[in-house]
Amino acid sequence: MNIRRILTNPYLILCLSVLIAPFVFADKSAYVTGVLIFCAVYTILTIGLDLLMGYTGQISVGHASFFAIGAYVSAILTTRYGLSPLGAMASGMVLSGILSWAIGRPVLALKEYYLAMATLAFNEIVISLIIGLEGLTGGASGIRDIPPFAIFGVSFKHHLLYYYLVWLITIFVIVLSRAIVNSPVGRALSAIHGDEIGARAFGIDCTKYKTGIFVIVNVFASLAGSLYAHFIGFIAPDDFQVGTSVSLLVMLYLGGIGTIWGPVIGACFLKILPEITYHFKDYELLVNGLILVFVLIFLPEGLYGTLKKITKRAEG
Amino acid sequence: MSDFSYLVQFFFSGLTSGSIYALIAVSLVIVYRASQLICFSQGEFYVFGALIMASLLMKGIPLLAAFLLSLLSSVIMAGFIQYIVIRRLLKKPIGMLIVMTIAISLALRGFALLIWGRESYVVRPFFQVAPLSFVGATLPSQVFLIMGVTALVLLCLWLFFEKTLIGLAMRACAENPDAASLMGINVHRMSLFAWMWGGAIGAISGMVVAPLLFTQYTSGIMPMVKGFIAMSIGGLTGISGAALGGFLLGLTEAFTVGLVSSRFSDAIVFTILIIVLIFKPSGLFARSQ
Amino acid sequence: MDGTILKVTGVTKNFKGLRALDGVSFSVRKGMIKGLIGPNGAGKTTLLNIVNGITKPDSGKILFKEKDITGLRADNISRLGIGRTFQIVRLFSAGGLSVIDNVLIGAHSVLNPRILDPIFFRKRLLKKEAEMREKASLLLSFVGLKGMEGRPINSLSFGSQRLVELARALMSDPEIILLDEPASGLNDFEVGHLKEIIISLREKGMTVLIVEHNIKLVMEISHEVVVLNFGKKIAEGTPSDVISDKNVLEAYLGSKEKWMKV
Repeated sequence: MNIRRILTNPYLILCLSVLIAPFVFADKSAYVTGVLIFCAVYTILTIGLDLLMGYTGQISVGHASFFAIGAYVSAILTTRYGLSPLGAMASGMVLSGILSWAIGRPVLALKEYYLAMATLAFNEIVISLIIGLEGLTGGASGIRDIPPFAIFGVSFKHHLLYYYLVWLITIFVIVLSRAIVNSPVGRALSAIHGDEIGARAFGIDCTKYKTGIFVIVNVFASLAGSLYAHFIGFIAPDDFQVGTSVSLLVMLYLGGIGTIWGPVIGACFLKILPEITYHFKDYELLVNGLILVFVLIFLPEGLYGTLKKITKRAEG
Repeated sequence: MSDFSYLVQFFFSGLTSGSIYALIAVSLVIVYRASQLICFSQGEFYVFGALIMASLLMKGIPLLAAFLLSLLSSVIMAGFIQYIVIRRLLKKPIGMLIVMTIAISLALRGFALLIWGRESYVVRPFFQVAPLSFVGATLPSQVFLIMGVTALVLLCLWLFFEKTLIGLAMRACAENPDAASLMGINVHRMSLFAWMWGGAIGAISGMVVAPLLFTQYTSGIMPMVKGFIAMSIGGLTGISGAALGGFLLGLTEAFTVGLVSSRFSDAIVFTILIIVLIFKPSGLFARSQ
Repeated sequence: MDGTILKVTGVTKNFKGLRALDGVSFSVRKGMIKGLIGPNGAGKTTLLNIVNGITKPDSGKILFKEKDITGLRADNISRLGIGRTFQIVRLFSAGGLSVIDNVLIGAHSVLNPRILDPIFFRKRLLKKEAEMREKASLLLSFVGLKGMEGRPINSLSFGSQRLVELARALMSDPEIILLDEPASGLNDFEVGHLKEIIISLREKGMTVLIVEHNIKLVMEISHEVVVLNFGKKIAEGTPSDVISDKNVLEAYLGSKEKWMKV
C-alpha cells in the first residue's frame, strides 16, 4: 500500500482535522467550534451548488432559497408547534424536495442567463414572502429562541457535541455526493453539462437528471438550513438574501468547481478568513469580490483544483 | 385625495421608476449586444454615479460640474473594467462569465462601502421648483426631470446608433462580430465603447433619481435586477423593447404596490419575471429575426 | 416484411422559410450499407437529425422495424436501437471526461441508472458498469485506439476523436448506425482505416446509413446510394447506377463539387 496515498487521502485528512480542531485552540474552544460549525453548514451548501453548477452545468444565483426554507420550517415548527427538531428538519427536507421538483422542471429548461435570473428571482421571492408573511415568520425581525437540536430527546446543546454531529452529517453528504459523481450518473451529468443535445442522443433524459439533482441539492440546502437555525437560535431574512447565494458562488469557485472537495476548502476558507481579519469587517465585501475576480482569471480550477494539478504534475 | 388622484400618483410613480428601469435595461442591452455578456455590475455604476455626485455636491461643487464629473468617472471606470478584466475572459464558458460580472459587482460594492460607508446619501432636487399639483396628486419637479432625461438619453442613443459611423460599426459588431472584424472594425474597441455607454447610462440613472431616494452602497442591486427583468420582458436584444419593458415594469410595480399590496410587490414582480422567462423567453416585444 | 429496417416516407422540413427537405423517401434493408450523398446544403444532416429524433419533421414518417418513430425524443430513439455519429464531433469534455468516459456514455441507455442508484444500488450499478467498461475497451481496440482509455478527450487528434465517436455509437449495440460524414477531415490513411471498420461492422450484421462527401468512399462500400439536392431526392440505386445518372452529374457539376470518375 502506497504510504503517500494513504496520508493524502482527503477523507482521512478531513476526519482527523475535524477530530482535533476544537482542541487546538483549547482556551477559545466554544468560539472555534462555533466558527467550524458554520464552516460545515456552508460546506453542505457549497457542495450542493457544485453538484448543480460544477457537474450538471446549471447556474444558480439563488442557492440560499432552500437554505432559507429549511431554516424557517425548522424554526417555525419547533418554536410554534413544539415539533421535535428532527421532525421539523425532516419536514423541511420533504417540503424542499417537493417544491424544488415542482419549480425545477420548468425553470431548469432555461439556459444560462435566463436560468441565472430565474434562480435569483426565486431567491428574492422567497425573501419577499418571508418578510411579508409576518404572522408566520416574524417578518424582518426574524424568529428567536429556536431550541437546540435534539434527536429522540437527546439534546445537542453542548457545542462540542453539536460540532461533531454537524460534521458527521457533512461528511455523510460528501460521501453521498462523491458516490453520485463517481458513477454512470455522474458521467451523465457531465455529459448534460457539455452538450445536452449530444447527451440526449445517447439516451440521457436530461430533464429527469437535471430535476433530480436539483431536488437532491435543495434537500441538502434545507438540511443545512435546519442545522444552522438550531445552532444560532435566531434567524432573520438577512441571512438568506441573494448576497448569501453570491457568497456561495465565491466559495465554490475559490475552492474549485467540479471537485466536491473544492467546496469544502472554499467554504471553510471563506468562513475562517473573516475571523483572522476581523478588524477589517468593512473590507469583507471588497475582498470577496477581488478574490473571486482573481480566482476566475488566474486560478480557474480553484484552490483544490490547482493543488491537484500541481501534485499530478509532480508525480509526472 | 380622491381615488382618481391616487391613480394619477401611481401612474407618475410608475413612470418615474419605469424611466430608471428603462435606462438600466437599455444599458444592459447595449453591453449585451456588444460583448454577449449581461453585466451584473450595472447597478454599481448607478450607485457610483449617485454617490460621487453627492460627495462632490457636499464639497460645494456646482450641480452641472458635479453631474458631468461623476458621469466621466463612471465612464472611465466602466471602460477600465472592460479593458482589464472582461477582455481576458471572452473565450471562457458562459457560467464563468456570469460569475465574473457578479464578482466585479461585489468588488465595486465593497469599494463603495469602503469609500462611503453604510450611510445613506441624499441629493437636493436639481431644480428648486415647488412640487406640481395635478388633479390632486403631488408630483415633485424631479419626476419631470427624470422623464425628460430618459427621453433625451433614448433620443441620443437612437441618433448615435442610427446616424453615426461608430454607432453603425457597433451595430455591425453586435450582429456579426466576425464579419465586422473582417471589415476592419475593431471588435474589442466596440465592446469597450459599449461598456462605456453602459457606465454612462447607469450613472445618469443613479444621479437623476438621487434626489428622490436615499442612496447607499447596496442601492444598486434592485435597479439592476429590475433592469434585467425589463430587458427580459422586452426581448434581450432590442433597445426599444427594453425601454418599453422598463416602463411597463415600472407601471406594473407602482400599481401593484398601490392597489394590491406593498408587502408582496417584490414577490409579484419576480414571479412575473419567472413566468415571462418560462413562457416567452424571447420577451414580449421581441422582433422575430 | 422484406427485410426493411428503416423506411423514410415523404419527409419534409422547413427552417424559417427555407425548405431543407422536400418529400424525401427511401428505405434501407437490414444488413446493407446505404450511402446518402448530395452537394452542400442538400439536407443530409437534417435528415439524419430527423431519423435520430433531434429534429421533428414538418410532415412525413420514419418507420424503424415497421414501428413509427416519427417525432419521438432522441433519447427514446437511441434506446430503440439507432446509433449515431455527428458531423461536428459531439464529444463531452466538461468535467475532464476521458476517452473511455465518452465511450461509456454510449452505454447509458443500457445502464439507464436512476439518479439515486449510485447510492442505493451501488454494487449492482458498478458491476454492470464494469462489464460496460470492458466492452468499451474492446471497442476502442476495434477502432484502433487501444491504450487511449484514460486520456482527456481534448488531447486526441481530430481523426482519433472521430473514432471515439464511432466507438461510442457502437456501445449500445445498435441495429442501425447513422454515420454523419465520418471521413471529413481524415487523411487517406485514416479513410482507409475507416473503410475497413465500416466493412467489418457490416460483416457483423450491422446496418449502416452513411452521409458522406467523400464520393469515392461511399461508392466503394455502399450497396445502394441515395442522392439529395436542395432537399429533394434526385436519384437512388446501386453505385454504378447513380454514378452514370445524368441528374446527379448535373447537380454536382452545377455546384462545382469534386466528382470522382470511378
